[in-house]
Amino acid sequence: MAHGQERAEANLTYNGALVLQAMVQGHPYGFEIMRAARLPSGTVYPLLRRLEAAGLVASRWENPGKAQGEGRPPRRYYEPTPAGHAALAEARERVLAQQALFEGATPKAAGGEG
Amino acid sequence: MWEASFFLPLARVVVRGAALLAPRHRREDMVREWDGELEEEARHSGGWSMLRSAFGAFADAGELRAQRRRERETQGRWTMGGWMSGWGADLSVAARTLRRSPGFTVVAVVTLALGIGGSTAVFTLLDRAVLKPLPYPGAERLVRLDNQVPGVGPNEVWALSTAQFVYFSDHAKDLEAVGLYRGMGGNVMTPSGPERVRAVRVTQSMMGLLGARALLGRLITPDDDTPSAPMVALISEGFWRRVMGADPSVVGTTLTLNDNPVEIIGVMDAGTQLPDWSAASAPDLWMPLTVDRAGSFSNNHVYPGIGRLSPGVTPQQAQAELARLTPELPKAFPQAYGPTFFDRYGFRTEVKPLKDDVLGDLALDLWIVFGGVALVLLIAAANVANLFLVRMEGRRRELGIRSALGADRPAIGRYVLAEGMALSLSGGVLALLVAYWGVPWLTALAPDDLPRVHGAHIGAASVAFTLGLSVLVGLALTLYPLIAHTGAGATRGLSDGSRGSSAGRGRQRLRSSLVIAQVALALTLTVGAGLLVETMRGLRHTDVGADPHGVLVADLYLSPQRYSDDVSVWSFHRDVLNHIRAVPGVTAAGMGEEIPVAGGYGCTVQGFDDDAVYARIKDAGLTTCAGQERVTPGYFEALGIPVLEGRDLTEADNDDPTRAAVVVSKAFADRFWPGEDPIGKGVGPGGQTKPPFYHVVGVAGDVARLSDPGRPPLSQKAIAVYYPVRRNPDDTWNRYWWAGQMTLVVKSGMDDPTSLFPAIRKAVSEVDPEVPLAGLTDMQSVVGRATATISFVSLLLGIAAGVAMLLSAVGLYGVISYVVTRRTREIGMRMAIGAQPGMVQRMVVGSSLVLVIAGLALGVGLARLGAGLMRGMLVGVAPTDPATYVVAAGALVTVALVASWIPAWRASRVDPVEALRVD
Repeated sequence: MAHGQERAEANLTYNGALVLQAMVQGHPYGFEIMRAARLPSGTVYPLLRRLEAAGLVASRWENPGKAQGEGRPPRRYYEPTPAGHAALAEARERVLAQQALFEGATPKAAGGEG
Repeated sequence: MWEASFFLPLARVVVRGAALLAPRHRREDMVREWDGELEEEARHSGGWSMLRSAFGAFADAGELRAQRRRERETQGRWTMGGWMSGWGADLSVAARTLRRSPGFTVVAVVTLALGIGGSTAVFTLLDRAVLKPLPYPGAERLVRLDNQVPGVGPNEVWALSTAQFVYFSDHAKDLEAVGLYRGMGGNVMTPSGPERVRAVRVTQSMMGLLGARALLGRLITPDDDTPSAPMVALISEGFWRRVMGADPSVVGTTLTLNDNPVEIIGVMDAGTQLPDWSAASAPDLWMPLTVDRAGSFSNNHVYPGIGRLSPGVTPQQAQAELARLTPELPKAFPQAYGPTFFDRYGFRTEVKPLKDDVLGDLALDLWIVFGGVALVLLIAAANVANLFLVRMEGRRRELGIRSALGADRPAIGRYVLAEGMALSLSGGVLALLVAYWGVPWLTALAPDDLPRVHGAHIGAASVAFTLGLSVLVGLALTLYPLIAHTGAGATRGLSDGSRGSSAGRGRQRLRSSLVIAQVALALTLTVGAGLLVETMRGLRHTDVGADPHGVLVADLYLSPQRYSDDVSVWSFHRDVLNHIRAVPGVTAAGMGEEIPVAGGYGCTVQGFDDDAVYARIKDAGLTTCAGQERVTPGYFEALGIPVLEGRDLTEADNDDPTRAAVVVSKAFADRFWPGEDPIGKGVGPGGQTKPPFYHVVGVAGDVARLSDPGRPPLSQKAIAVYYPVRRNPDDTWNRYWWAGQMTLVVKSGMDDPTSLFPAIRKAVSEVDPEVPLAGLTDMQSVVGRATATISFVSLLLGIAAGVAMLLSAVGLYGVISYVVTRRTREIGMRMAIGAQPGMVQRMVVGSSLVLVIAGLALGVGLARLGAGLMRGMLVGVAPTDPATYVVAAGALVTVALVASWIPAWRASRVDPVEALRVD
């Protein structure tokens, strides 16, 4: 799926970047990602599916015994794959450059950095 | 946290509902993950926000579904189940793709709708008339009983006699039941004056054979079927509503029929029909036909008969049994049949399925028309296949990419099929609309007396037919693209941008073959239609022996009670005719028992004063029977039948009937006195062999009579002898001498003689206000009706041929245009090195002529096959008539030249510089 991966990377959306970034910062499952990225469930879950299909994130189910011990249903944990990290790095640069727009830097300088 | 316990179950229901939209194999995981999500929400947020969150599951399910579809499109693995379940997605993708090229889609769908719709419309008629069983219980076991009498002379098909009915009912084991019926006219007094009614007398057995149902009252029972029983009748539902005002107390009342009281015992349900009586001529009264077993029997074959085969018996077996029983008839009914009668005339009782008999030639006619529309559909499908090929070729790169990305052959095949199916199914839906409008239009065009066709409508069978046909067409459209794009060359599309590759040449050959086939099919249809038009033209110019222009025709029936002898009948006829002749615009008027074209002219044995006639006829293996018709003076003049020799019958011949004058038709004179002068010869009506004879005073021109079943219209001449209304009082043969049932013929100079009707009705009521006139029409309509079926079929085939020619022209235009586009560069080069525009045009037109000529060559063979099937319908033109073939081919060549000249003209305007710069 080399083709698909490349395309997904290139097309990583702002929301996609937020979701990946939330994972990297230690919010590994749906509910936490939603809170961290401040996105609604109707955005986060479809994004998780898309990122997983594109090979940017991988998921695994939590050990049911542990969940039972804590008296809650098992969680599905997500983490970025190496391709996901690469895509996030690329997106981060883009996002930071874009944020610089709000911080008074000149567009030219931001473009030069990218 | 009361909210959570309230909202949590609700939110779970929402998630489970959303999960139903997700692909089945991902539902479980999805629900599990969302349950966790909801728990967390319940713990950390509120009930409301949890519920809001739960609706996000719909977006999640939608994404999972979309992923599944994308997977299928690009990397679906071949399993039958998976392949089948990808259809919905492929069809919707195909529909979207087609919507993006509306030009192609509209042309293709409309073309297919015309083709499929035409086929569906004709199929609907075929299904109704030919495929569906007759509306009787056990209809497949009902048979028509007829007698073939080849040695008799004019009429070779005789109905049953009462003797046959009695004997076959009693002795034939292969027949469970036998029934007879016979139509008759009558006058009924109604509150609004005298009314002419159609009555039918039926044996009691017909009730069961027809599955008769009484709406009110009762049916005919065996008690009614005895000679001493009082006269009873069922009135038809139509008559009950129209004349009796749907009066529910009508049963038990009395009706006056021909001045006789008749008790109404019931109202016959409108669904009860006689097999060969069209709805337009359905009977008003149903009365018992009583056969007096103790009475006398005669050789009188006038009762149409039907029977029901015993279970498991074939018509052939029943026919063989009747053939064994027939020689026993002279012994059982010596007063009806002489010992040698059956042998002498090759008499044979025929048993055939009732449906075949009712349909007659119609089954073949409808199959021919169906064949015609099927050819149109083939041509239409060929056009769309051509368009589809061009389209798929344009998308070879796209399909190549799909397969390079991992779409396997079945997936690509399914996608191509889906696009073909989307086209053909859309065409099918539109076709149903075409047929929905087309069927009423067709039945309106169909002649009134065409059996079983009327009332046809689109039903489940038609819808199933359309659907099946659409699927077949869809498969046919995609057949070649399927092979080309899923076969070995599938990925070649990626590199194959160049022209003239071997695959490209293959497709070009296929397109050319399709055009050749179209031209061949169009020629077949055009020749078929042309032969029928030629037949119609011949029939229209057939001399029926009479001049139908400006002749009004009406039936008139006197009451046998009040006009019981020929003196009173003649005085009525004479007075009425004199009143009518005084009507302005009338140039001649007369009456006769039969009229040309519509009349069967019967077969009544004649006597002769010259024994040599008997010997001659016997040697020829014929009988002396002929149409024995009573006519008034003025009959020949009004119908424009020439008196070739001698004179017409006059009033004096009736005022003084001892003059015993008679006129014979030319065919009669030729048959009985060949090479002799017929004037003065003696004939005896009803086979009377002793004097006094009637003496021939004139010879009238021959007229066409109603054709026997299976014979083309207007092809048979009446062999007739015309007697005066009054019989010779010295004559002892007088049993049937009553001329109270006559057809009035009035000649005028008008194009629409029926406009004279009020004046003529007045003239009749001036003489007797109780005599009704019925069956008003004009002679040209009578002649038209005889050829109405052929005219109907030729109209339909003509339309089909026109559409076929148009579609072939479109197909040819499409292919030639495409070729020109592909050859733009070559043409530009030719022009750059000095080719003139005229030369380019000739080259392009020439290349299309090659296709057309190949198509014509193939078409001539096909057309000969098709015309052979139509042989039975053709009159006066051979199935191989060269003129028709030449005209049809010429028409096609002309259309083809026009169609190919447009792209040729465009080619000749190619700018060499532009052309060479392409690519």
